[in-house]
Amino acid sequence: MNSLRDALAVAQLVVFVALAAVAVFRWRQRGGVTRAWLAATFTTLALVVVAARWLPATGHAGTVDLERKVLVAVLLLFPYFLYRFAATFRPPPRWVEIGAGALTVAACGGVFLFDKIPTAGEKQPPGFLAYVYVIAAQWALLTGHVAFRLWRAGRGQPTVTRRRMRTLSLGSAGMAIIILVGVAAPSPGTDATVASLVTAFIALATGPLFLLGFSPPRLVLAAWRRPEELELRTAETGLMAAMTPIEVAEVLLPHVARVMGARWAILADGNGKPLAAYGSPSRDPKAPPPLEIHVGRGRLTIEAGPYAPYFGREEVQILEQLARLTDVALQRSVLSERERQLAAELQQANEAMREFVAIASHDLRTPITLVSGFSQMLLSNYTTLDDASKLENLEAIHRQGLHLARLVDDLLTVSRIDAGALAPDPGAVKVADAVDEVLGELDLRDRFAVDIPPDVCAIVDRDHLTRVLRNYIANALNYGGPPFAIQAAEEPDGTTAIRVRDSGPGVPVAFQDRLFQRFARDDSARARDKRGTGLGLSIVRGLARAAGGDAWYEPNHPKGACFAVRFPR
Amino acid sequence: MTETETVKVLVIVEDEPDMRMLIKTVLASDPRLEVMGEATNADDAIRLAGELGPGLVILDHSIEGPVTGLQAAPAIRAAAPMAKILLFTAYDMAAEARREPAVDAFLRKDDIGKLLRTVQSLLELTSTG
Repeated sequence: MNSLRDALAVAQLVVFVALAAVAVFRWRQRGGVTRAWLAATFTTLALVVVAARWLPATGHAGTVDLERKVLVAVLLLFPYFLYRFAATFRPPPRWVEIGAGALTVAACGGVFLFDKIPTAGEKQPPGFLAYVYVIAAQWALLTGHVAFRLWRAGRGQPTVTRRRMRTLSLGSAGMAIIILVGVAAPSPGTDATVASLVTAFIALATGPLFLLGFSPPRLVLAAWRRPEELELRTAETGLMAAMTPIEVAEVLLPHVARVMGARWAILADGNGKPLAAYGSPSRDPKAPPPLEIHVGRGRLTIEAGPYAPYFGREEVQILEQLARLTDVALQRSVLSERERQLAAELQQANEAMREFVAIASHDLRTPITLVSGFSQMLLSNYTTLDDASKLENLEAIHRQGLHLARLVDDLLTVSRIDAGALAPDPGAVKVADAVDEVLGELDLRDRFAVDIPPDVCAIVDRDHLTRVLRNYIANALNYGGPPFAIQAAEEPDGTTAIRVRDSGPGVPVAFQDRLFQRFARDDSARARDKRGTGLGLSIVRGLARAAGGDAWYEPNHPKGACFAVRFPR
Repeated sequence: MTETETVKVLVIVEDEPDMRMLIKTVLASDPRLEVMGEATNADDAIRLAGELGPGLVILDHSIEGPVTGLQAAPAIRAAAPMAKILLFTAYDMAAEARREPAVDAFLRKDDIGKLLRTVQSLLELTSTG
């Protein structure tokens, strides 16, 4: 029996010294308050075990007694340090803090109130039994508190974290049981009792539990993290199939939350714009700061529980692995989204081209039909037709011929704009001169009020500018109403803007968006009477943009239309 | 030939004035045809068809207003159930015209040389030449 007890004592010594060594090593290696308390906890235990072994059984009685008392006091620091370790995650309520401190002071200090610590069989000094109960209460309450807290906090945590917390909890529970068994057992004689053997066994068993808890071997970790690895694999498969950045985020976040045991997670793109969120962030100001992981230029933000920084290293590594994959998936999804967008744009361009060809064919066919139809009529019935009918037919042919010429010219300009083959010859053009020239050509000087400072210039192909002006002026005359005005001014953005205003009915709101589109025609009867090619305004915009400017419409005040164009100056 | 005495009333729905004039000139060569109404949009076309009960409506597709000729065809047919409808347009839309039950025939404008014969055949008039 004694040899068994000796063997257990040696094994305990080895285990607790090893625990202390690993705890100190981990603290030196990674630092942190949590690891420091753990190192202190097990160093205390190892010190006591080693000292107890080599403390001389005999010698000067007073010295031996003092050494024993100090040893008891140091031993009673163990549960307090363990409690401090657990308290680093989440501070316990104030009354618990005060209670734990008071009990520890009482337990550590109390031992010095007695002359000597009675050995087995010796008469106990008065009050000693009460002191034993204080010690038992301090030890059992603190280790039991740690066991309870860690076990309960493990709920909902990822597998590795949960198992580590729970093995530490079991170790602490073992320590609580040891003291309870020790106090409840009858006072041991010189021979080892069953109770002392039981406590020795339990103490020995707590060693591997603590070790598994604060420094689990790689093999154990690999086995424990299997569910999270599986989660990672599932996430990988999902990420590969995600087509858009939002899909990537939606696939990723539930897995991330499960890997970390988090209630919320957010993936944001490179501009900080959230792509998707899982759950919603805690509004608790006391909540620990969330974990942030870089995903390429974006960021993954996850709720981090208080236990994550110490127990969650494995999970963070899994997340970092997942973040690299997410970055690849995000880049791919951005590319494929751009590809889809391009395909859609191409299809849109194709449809626009088809529509353009259909309308252009229609618009060309009509005047051609009329020219050939009327000329055929004239040829077939020349001798029978009276002069008035002949003149009517000839006028129609002339009208349609002119319309056809305008249409062909506009179509050619449109295709040159599309092909980027305008070949403009830009130069500084005095706007007032160009406007005067066009108004003179059209004999409209007295109908348009011109307000253009003589030195206002635009950098533009002069022919393009006069074409723009002719178009806007014709528009004003055909669709607008007097008084007419042309203004030009230097704008603060470094351009020169020209505005052709009228006081007619203005452009209907429903038509304003389509105004500069090709073959955009106002379907109102009034507009139909003044048939254009439907290409004029799209050509104006094309010419303006080719010169680095733009063309647009704005309502005139108090009424009418204002067609504007700007060029660099 | 009793047909020579029968005057067939026609309505032209066309927004291009020169085209209306050309159609009328073409049809004038057959004295049995009389153009009684002209419209430039769907509303006027439907109203005229109801008022005149024409034998034939020559209907352009691209007309004034938001309703196209093809879209207006069923309403014109409803207003004048006896009227034949000839869709006469510069668009390539023979297939669409075939799918619309209210349209009896389709002729593209550049085939204007066939207009008279098409009109006569739709009105079951013997060809005059």
